[in-house]
Formats: sequence, C-alpha cells, structure tokens
Amino acid sequence: MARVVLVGVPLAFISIFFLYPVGSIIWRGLTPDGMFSLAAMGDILTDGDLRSVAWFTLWQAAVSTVVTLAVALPGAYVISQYKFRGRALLRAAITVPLILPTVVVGIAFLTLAGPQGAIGVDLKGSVWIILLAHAFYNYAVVVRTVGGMWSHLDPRMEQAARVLGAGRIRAFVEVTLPLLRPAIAAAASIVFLFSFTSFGVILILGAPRRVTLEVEIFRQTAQLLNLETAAALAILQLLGVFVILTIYSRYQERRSVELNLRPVSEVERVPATSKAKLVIAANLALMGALLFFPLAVLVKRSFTTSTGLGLTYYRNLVESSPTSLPVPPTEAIRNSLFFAVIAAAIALTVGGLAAIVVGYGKSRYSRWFDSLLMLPLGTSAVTVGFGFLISLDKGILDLRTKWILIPIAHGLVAIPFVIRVMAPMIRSIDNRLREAAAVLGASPARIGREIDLPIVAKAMLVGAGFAAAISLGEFGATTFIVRPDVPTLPVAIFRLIGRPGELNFGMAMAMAVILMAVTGTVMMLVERFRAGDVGDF
Amino acid sequence: MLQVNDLTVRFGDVTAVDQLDVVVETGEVVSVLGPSGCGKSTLLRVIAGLEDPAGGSVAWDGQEVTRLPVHRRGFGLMFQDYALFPHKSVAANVAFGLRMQSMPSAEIATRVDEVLEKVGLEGYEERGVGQLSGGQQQRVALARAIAPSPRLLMFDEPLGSLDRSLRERLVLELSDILSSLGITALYVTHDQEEAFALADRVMLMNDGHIEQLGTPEEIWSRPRTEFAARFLGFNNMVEPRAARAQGWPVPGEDDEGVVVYRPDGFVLDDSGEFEGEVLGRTYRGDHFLVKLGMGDDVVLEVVVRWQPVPEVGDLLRLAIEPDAAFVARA
Repeated sequence: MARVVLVGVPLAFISIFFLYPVGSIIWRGLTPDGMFSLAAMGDILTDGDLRSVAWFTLWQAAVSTVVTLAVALPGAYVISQYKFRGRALLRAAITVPLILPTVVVGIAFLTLAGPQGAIGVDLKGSVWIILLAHAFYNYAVVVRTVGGMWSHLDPRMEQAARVLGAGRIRAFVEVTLPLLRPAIAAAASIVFLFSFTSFGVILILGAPRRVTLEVEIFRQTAQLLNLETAAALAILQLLGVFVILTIYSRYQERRSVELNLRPVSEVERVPATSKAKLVIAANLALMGALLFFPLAVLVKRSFTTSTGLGLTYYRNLVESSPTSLPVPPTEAIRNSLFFAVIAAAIALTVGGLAAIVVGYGKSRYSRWFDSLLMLPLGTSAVTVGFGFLISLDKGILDLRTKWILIPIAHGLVAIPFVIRVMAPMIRSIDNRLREAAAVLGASPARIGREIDLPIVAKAMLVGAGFAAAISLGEFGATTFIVRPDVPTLPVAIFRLIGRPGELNFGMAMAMAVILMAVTGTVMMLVERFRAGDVGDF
Repeated sequence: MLQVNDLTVRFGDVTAVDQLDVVVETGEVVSVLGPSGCGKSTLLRVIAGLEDPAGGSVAWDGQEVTRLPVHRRGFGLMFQDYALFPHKSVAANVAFGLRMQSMPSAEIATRVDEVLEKVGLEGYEERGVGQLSGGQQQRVALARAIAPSPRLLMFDEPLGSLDRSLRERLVLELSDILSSLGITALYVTHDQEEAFALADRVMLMNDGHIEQLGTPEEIWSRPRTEFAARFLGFNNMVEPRAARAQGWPVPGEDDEGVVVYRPDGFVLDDSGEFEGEVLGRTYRGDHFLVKLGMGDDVVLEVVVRWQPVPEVGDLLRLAIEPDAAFVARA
C-alpha cells in the first residue's frame, strides 16, 4: 500500500502534468489538420526566418559553451588547486548567478551594456551581450563540475609526467586534460543545454533581432496565435534536447577509466610562487568583472535616480503610483511568495516520495523511475508552459484560467532538483549506522525514527528551499499560463522593462534587486542545512 | 655522482629537511630509511625537482640542478602507489618518457618491449593499467621509470602498499634488476629489511637530518645513536652508570649515552653478570623472546634459541658475548 502511494503519486503527477502536455504538443505538431502530416514540420524547415532562428539557436549555444569553458576552466583550476583566504566564500559567491532568476540576469546586463548602460556601449540585440550573459549564468556550472573532479585528481599523475620529461603544458595536455575529460564533457553538455533552451535572457537582451527557438515558440503562441507552428518548433527543440542528452549519456557510459581519486587535502596547496599568485589574482579579477560587477551595477542603479542616490524606485513600488501594471507591484511580490510556498509543497510531496523510492531502491525499476522523473529537467520551461496551454483545457483538467496551474508548473520544474538533492542524502546514510543501532537494541521502527528520519527531514528542508527558489525565479513556463491580473515578480519585471520611461525601468531594477535578495536568502538558508557535499547540486 | 649540499626544506614553520649533506656515487644504491615524517620523501621530491628547497643545492657530477625544472633533470622517480596514467595502456605508460625525449616511434616500440621483458610483463602491452594486480602495477611503474634510462633513479616507498610475501619476492627481483642495470639509485623506505636487502649504503634519517650513513652491516652491527638503535628494534638500553652499578659489562669509561645489549647476544652462564626472573615469553618462529625482570623496573629482552625454553617465574643467570654490548650516543 505504501509502495503504491510512493510510486503512484509521482507517476500520476508526471503523467498528467508532463507526459500528457508534451504528448499534446507532439500530437498537435504532427497532425496540423487533424490528420498525420509532416507539413508543419516541413513548413518551419523551409521558412527562411524560422530556419535562421534554429541555426542561431544552435550556434549561439555552441559559442556560449566554448566561451564559458574558456573563462571558467582557469577559475576551476584556481579554486580546486589552491588554498587561499576567502576561498570558501568565493566558492559560494560564484554560485549566486546560477540561482538567479533569468529576468534578473537579463536586467542586470541591460543596466551594464544596454541603452545607457554602465560601460557606455549598447550591446542590446547583439550576440555579444547574449554570450556574456550565458557565460555569467553558467560559470559556476563549469567550476562546480570540473573543479569538483579536479580537486580530487591525484597530483602525482602530473608530477609523474613531469619527472618523465614532460613540460608543464605537455603534462597538462597529455595527462590532466584526458583525466578531466568526463567532467568537462558533462559541464559542456549542461552549458550547451542551458544556452540552447535559454529564454528569459534572450527575450530581454536579444529580442527582437536575436531570438532562439524558445523565444520564437513564445512569439508564435502569444503574439501570432500560430499554435501549429509553435508546436512544430517545440518538436524541433525537443529533438535537439534529446540529441544532446543522448550524446551526453553515451559519453558518460563509455568512460571506463578508473581514477585513483585522492582526498582534497592531498591535492590542494598553498600558492608558493609569485606566478601562482598572479594566476589566482587574474582569475579573481575576471570573476569580479564577469560575475559581480553586473550585479553591483544593477544594485547601484536601482538606488540612483536623476537627483542622485535615493529610494524613489523602491518607494514607487509600495505607493503604487501611476504605473501601467494592472495591479500594484507589491501584489506581484505577494503572489510570488504565495506561489513559491505552494510550489515547494507540491515539489516536496511528489519529489520527496519519488526520492524515497530512488534513494532506498536498488532495482532497475528505481533507476528507470529516476530517469522518468528527470525528464522535466532536460525539457525547456517554455515547452512545459506551452504544453499546459494547449492540453489542460478539457473536462476536469480545464485549469488554464486557474491560478493553481502556476505553482504546478513551478513544482514540475523543481521536482528533478528535489530528487537530486534528497536521494543522494538518503543514499548516503551509512548502513552500518543502522546496524550499530540494531546491535545496541533499537527496533526497526526505532531505527527509522532515530537514524533515518533526522537525515530525511533535513533533506526535505533543503529540497523545499530549492523548490521555493526555483519557483520565485521561474519565468519561461509562467509567461504562458500567467493571468494578467495575477503576475509573479519575474513577469512584472519583464512587463516593466517593456514599458517606456525611466521610472518604469527603475522600478524593474528595484524589483529585480528585491527578487535577488529573496532568492539569495532562501538559498543561504538551504546551504546552512546542507551537510557537506552530499547532493548533486 | 649526486651531490646534495647543505639542503634545507621548509613547509611554513616546519623544517622537513635540515642542512643535509650527502653524496651518492655513480652506480651506487643508497637506501633512505626512517620513520614517517622524518623528511625522507621530501628529500627525494626536492632532488627530483618537485619541491623547492629553502637553501642548499643539488648537483649532478658537479653541475648544479637546483633551479632546473623537474622535466629537464633526467632523473627518474617511482611513486608510492605508482601514479600510473589510468587512461593509458601498459605500453603507453612505459613509452611516455621516451616520447618526451622525441625518440622515433620504431625505437620506442623496441625499447618498450625490452623493458617490459626485463620486468617480466611481456604480453601485457595493450592492457589497461586498471586491470592489473598490485604487483603487476608495480612492475609497470618500474618499467616506466627505467625506460628513459635516467641517470638517477629514485624510489618513494615503492612496495609500501603490497602484502608481505609479495614484497619480499619483489625486493629480490628489484635488487637483481638494479644491479643488472648498474644504475645510481635512491630508495626511500621505512622498512629496514627492504633497505638492507637492496642498498650498498643505508642512510638513516630522523627529523630532517642524517642519523647514520653506512653499509647495512655497519649500521646493523653498530647503530651509533640511541635513535638508530631503537629504530632497528634494540630495546635493551641502560645508562652506563646504572649498568656499572649492576655489575654489567660497559664498553669504555664514559658515562655518556646508553649501553645497548643486543637481545641475541645473551648466553646461559652460571657465572654470568645478568640475573633475572622470566616475566613472559613470546614465540617468534625460530626463537622465543623472553622478557627478563632485572629488579628496579629494568626489563631486558633476550632471544632464546636454547632448550629447554625457560618458563615464566624461572630465574636465569646469563652472560653477554663481548661484541653484543656497545654504547650509543644519546
């Protein structure tokens, strides 16, 4: 009975709110006139504009990946190999961009390099600002994934190569790089996937000149009401994602080299030479310029009005002076917090049950179950939102106009994260602890209460925090299903950006700073509850 | 000829190697023996160029190499746990150093075959190193280290992680290979049997300095310091004054240092100077180790090979062979 609930609830949820909507998109795209036909697919491939959108999506993702690797690999080296003061803080700080809502990233780069931007060059609508924002956003992905492995790589491998006559560069290319290749490939796949399905950043910084498939799906749906074309584009996009993930998992399976991983204490060292110190300083400067400067500019500008420093923009949020929003901005903040709580509850219920199955299970089925529940992670948020829009419109599932749809979408996006956080923590419970408790006289029920529950409870808190943070920043799916009179924070920010006038933009910046602060607070609470490195994120 | 001159290595406030001087003749095998933390591995890493000294110099045949980067020194180093490249085959591991010398690939192939044959690993060329047993990995590491014909070959506890019987066999093989190559070698270990079996000379290290340097026989028969004696397992140490008070033989007239009585130097003798009560005995395969209470809380260890083996409570009267008592510096 318990098993039915554990497996049944997540299975039902994922079927109704993921498989069915995505299936509907595919159905819609392949049967444009009620009958199976590849006409819609053919149309988008012959349409010059759409073809160039697809091409742009592909190449900007590839270039974003290369640029991100180029700037972040040296950072991964410095953080994983050298001990220096403030490193722990730095490691936490560089993760901030990764958890920032895309709308905040977008507006931060607008204040940096948009019209009247801080650097004095208007890059809005160019590919440069997109690449910059993607590198900003994904820097931590590379540092965490590659640096995580690098910090355990036996330093004697490279030393052995040096003793055998290899110079510094040769030893790196021949030994270290091949050993890091799985981590680099994993990081590259994730960065490519994130850039390929980038939505908020492109919508704010690239549109209308530079758009990706994601943005085009949104445009076809919301502005042109061309659902068939949107569905066909979504299928194309799903195919792309599928190909990336297939290549990724193939590569992961093929790596069979058994590494003699060492404890971090044997790997890291104090920078002794002035050259090492210079390398560290250069990387710190780069991190400062790429990761912290844009956010600093955003915060500073939000407090800067035509008359100098002041709280004008913030005051306007509260006083609901004449803005063009249908509801006062404070309402958006309230909505977002409310949705975040509901979304966290949904993600925790569904994801928590699934994490118990995955965490305790050892069978092939539990791995299969795990993969199924990971699917929303690979699928873009826009696909989820679009799928909701065209499928949840009949009978008891006619939820299109109900507010509950928004936290459901957020919950769906958050479920894979909840599982990835909770399952490893559950799995990490050393079975000898249970054995020790049993030998000391604890009954199975008592063992569950004394050993498992405290750890699982902590894992649930962490998962709930993640889900809330994701919900607060979610933008892609929300734009499709949000009701104009119940906007979330990111949606309200986006609308303000689209309106003319200094005041509107100022209020958008103020709201972005508030959103950043709230998300940051939630993530800080999450970090406090996390035990060491357990968990995949 | 390796010349280490006044070498000092520091890690923060810790001095790992302290003003150390040593010369290793060409073709000589020197074991660096000592407890963990004595600085022996650090010494090796500085000579190899993996660590920078705070002072002093390393030279080969009069030419200083202290500032030469590690890959230009032409020295070989076999690491503890081997540090084999896990992404390369056995042959590719062995060929690595030859490729760094830009040797033509045909010559590399010949040399790899030759070296693998020497260590008894013919036919393993294409295996991944992860598929090999511990002993086989050790051979690959040796092959990789000797393939580029280094002018100095260094070993950092190369047998440390193997079980005892395998270690004993490999020491003999290694000894054969080293003498057949006629190579100059430094061999770091904390195992005295390994050190004595392989080396022309043994360098006993303690706390960053040389405690004693000499042939295995010299060190074994006359450990010069209390530390050396204790490290080699001699526990019968008595201050000269106390020994004289008991009427035990003391070489020399000094009151400095300690008198060491080798446990295997005692013989049964009714007129012997040592009289004590058997407190306990331990079976040690080819002998018994008997603990003899001498009064005043002094306990001596005695190797007993005679019959009948004394029982706990027996009173024994023993003499010591003249060679088996010596004085060690404090």
